[in-house]
Amino acid sequence: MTGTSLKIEASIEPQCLAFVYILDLRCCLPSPNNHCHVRVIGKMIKSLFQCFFARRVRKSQIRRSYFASLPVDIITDIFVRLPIKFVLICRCVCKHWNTFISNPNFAKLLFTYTPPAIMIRR
Amino acid sequence: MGSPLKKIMLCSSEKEIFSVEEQVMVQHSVIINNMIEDGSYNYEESKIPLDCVDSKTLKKVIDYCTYHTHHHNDNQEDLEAWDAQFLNVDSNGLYDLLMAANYLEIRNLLDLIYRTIKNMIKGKKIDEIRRILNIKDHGFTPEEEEQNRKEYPHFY
Repeated sequence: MTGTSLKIEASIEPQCLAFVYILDLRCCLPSPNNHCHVRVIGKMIKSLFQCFFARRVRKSQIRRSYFASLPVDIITDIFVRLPIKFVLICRCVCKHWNTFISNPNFAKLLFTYTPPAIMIRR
Repeated sequence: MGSPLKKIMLCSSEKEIFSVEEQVMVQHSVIINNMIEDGSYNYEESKIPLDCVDSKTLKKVIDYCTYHTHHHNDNQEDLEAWDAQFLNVDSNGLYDLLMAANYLEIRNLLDLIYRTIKNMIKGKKIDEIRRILNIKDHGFTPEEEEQNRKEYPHFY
């Protein structure tokens, strides 16, 4: 690896690095006396693996912390406890909740839980 | 129902085994109560696999059940203080506890978590709710989000 390519390496994201190495690979493969190339290929494989696992970990973390994707029965139990005003605010919190609250069945359900009140209109 | 000293084994998603007094879990968890009652649990061999509950969460759930079994005669204030301390976790921890309580059908714990989440949402603005519940990807397109913001500016 030359000085320039090292500099480039420092300035790019690790995820892209693997692809740069792949592009670089055809220039550096068959050169038996150069240990540098072995190192480059080794590094490339390592960073590919790292990318792969890093992405998997990140995905699973997102899924775990996802209040936005709660199962329907749990969301129902939470929303029927909330005053109606905050249920309406929750519509804008995330799309999944919006879809759920906009469903007419949920409105019906909410009425069975909410105590009756008189509406005065003038 | 067995004698209070009988122990049952719970196995977390990391395959860690927790030994708990039978009475503690039977009293709180509907699903374990059913399991013991219909005789599908074998005291010598069985371990109850809880594949969607990790060790950290399972330990907390067991702590909760144990405390509430042994302290159910305490006065209400002490119990509430203990519950508040118990649920002093981040949103990920709360989510895990919620899923575990739901899976094991622990009614008291579920009610407690629902009340906590209700208080987290009540009186808050949308951006705050997103931050508190760690909702990073709300799933709205930028246009929809902008329209919501225009339509209900006082909610944000």
